[in-house]
Amino acid sequence: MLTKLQNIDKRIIYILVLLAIIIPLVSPMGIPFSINATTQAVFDKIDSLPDGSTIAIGIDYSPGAAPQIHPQAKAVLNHLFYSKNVKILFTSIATTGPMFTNQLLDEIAGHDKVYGTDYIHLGYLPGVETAISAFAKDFYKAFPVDETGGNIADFPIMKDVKSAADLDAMLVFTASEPSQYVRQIQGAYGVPLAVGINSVIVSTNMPYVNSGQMFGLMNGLRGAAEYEVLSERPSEATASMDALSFTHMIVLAFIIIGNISWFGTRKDKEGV
Amino acid sequence: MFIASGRVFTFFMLILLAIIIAYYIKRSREGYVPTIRPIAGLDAIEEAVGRATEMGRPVHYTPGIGALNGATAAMTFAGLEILSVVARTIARYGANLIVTIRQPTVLPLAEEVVKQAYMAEGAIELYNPDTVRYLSQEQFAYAAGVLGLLHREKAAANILLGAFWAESLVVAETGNSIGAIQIAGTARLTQIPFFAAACDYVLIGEELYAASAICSKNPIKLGSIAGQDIGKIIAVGLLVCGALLETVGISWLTQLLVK
Amino acid sequence: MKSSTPVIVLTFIVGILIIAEFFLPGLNLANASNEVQNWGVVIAAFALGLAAVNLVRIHGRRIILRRSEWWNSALLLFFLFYMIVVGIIAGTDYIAYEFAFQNVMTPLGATMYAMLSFWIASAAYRAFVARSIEASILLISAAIVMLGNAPIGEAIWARFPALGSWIMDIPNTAAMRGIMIGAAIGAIALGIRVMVGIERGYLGGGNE
Repeated sequence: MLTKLQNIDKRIIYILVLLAIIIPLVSPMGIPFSINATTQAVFDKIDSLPDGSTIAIGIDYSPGAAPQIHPQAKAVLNHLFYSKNVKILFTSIATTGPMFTNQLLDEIAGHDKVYGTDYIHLGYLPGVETAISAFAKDFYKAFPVDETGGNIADFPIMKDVKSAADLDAMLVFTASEPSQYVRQIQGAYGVPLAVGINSVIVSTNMPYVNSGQMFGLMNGLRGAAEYEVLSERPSEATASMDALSFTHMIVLAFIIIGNISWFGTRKDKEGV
Repeated sequence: MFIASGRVFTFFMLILLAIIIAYYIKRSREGYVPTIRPIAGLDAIEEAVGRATEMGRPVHYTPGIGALNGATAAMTFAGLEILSVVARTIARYGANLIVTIRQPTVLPLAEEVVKQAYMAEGAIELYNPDTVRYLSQEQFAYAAGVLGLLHREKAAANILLGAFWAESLVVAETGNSIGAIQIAGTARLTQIPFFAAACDYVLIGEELYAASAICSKNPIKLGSIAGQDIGKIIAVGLLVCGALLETVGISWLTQLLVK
Repeated sequence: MKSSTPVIVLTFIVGILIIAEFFLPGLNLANASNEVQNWGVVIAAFALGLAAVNLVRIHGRRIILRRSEWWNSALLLFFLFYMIVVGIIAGTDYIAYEFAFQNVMTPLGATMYAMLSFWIASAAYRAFVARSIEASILLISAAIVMLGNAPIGEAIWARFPALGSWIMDIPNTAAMRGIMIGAAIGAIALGIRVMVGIERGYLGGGNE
């Protein structure tokens, strides 16, 4: 029996995980959840930005990480575009970033903000950390034209901003290396920085939050759900929380089964 | 002030570290070879290549998916350095090597490393220009490419040394399912548990950097590792002193660090 | 190896320039440093072209020689050229480009990532066993963090999120800081090796 438990067919595990995702999505239970302090800090900072502030938003995630991070970005943009009057520069160091920026702007359409005056999409800059450094030093040199091909100097939003030193905050949505922005933006220019990241890299980024180098952090899909609740716009992330709960429980259940079978068969072996 | 505010201490620490490393490099040039403990994963490379040769199946190698700049560059460099050793072993055995690449900037370097390795072993006629394959800059398209390749080619060994993100488990579990000997290593801590779960040998954190020096058998590189260890001792000293002083309410060291 | 000397000298000069600009603003090296970093951006962009050539060479040969599953190579090259041509001619916000991105690339990428949940479950079941005291501590910590992250954990016991946060904030942060400091020193040492020409991976390997 225990030997069988130790060799459960992978396909059975896969089917149970699939069911743990699908059933709560079809029939949600609405398990309540609290707000993490790191998400609260992101919300509070954005909510307290004075009118006319300028912030940069880095959209740096790939399609793979999008299910966790895209809802975070959407929740933050809904808050910014519908409840705040701040100027927003969209940048990206991921090839897929501009596409997600366009997608986000389409999804939050209906606001009264004007392109070029209230927000601008600067596009993609290759070179990863070198690109962040180049962008931080001089927006005009890094992005001579915006995503639409217009000279960025012609847009009113760019009138008073030249480098990262002119930013009031930066938010980065990424599944890669947020620490690059700590080095090139927060560390070098003292710009308050927050990140929206996938859950697997949260542990490596907590030291930056605890040291104050990041003023906040959104943790995967749960971070997105928390922000949706805080900004009073519950959406897809909030609806996915039950699926998150049940998949966690399935993984835990299999870890327990794996341990029981391992200890059981070890005793058998010792007996022989 | 001449040195940027907030970077004074960092600047002098950098100078100090450079001096210490330079000193150990100088000592190495004079014949001092520091002792570095053996790493099981490295000893397994020859075994993995031998097994692949016997089975007539290829060895898959990736120097990670990190770029050549930024914080993960060191891991990519280490991955390329060990690639040189692996490619030389493969050239000696006459086995088949497949190197997959995600970062375009790494591609020409990996091609050159493999070519040089075959030349060094006098086996340039065995070098196949299709050995090094760029798959995609998109993380999971790359992972899907490796997954398909491992299944199709039934690689006997899967060597993953460099910077990895979430694709690590995709690649390692696939290697596990086809029964390949798996040697993995990264300094990206978030991925180490995945490698530990799915691979036969794992190089953890800085073992990857040490591996490149051990593989190259270059005493000067080994010397620089000894130098960086002194740097770590200084960092530990500062941490302990800082924590103790702050606990008793003395903050001059903390203030010195942020100067 | 003599042919690599100019490259090593250039590497040293560029390295010193970037370091000096970061630490010593009084030297007014910002423009030169910006220029060099912009070159880096240009090189990265050109490398993408080089990678595309590698793809065309390998998959073109597969198609010509009708190797197994050559049609997959044909599909790959078709979409490669489709995205390049549409992107260059009509722009990345053109409907045909956006359609392929949103309806092909995004779901495929998301699917690959989502498959991790299946692999994590099977790998955790196989390998996450309390074989020793250390493994047991790891196992219990992971279970608490998981229960703290999932709303159901909070429903089971209200203290799970706080306990999970404590593990992430204190023991996790301490370990991560240690590794970060070690890795940073390792990266500095590697930087010095590259700058003085001891590490030549970027030149195609070789030793001093």
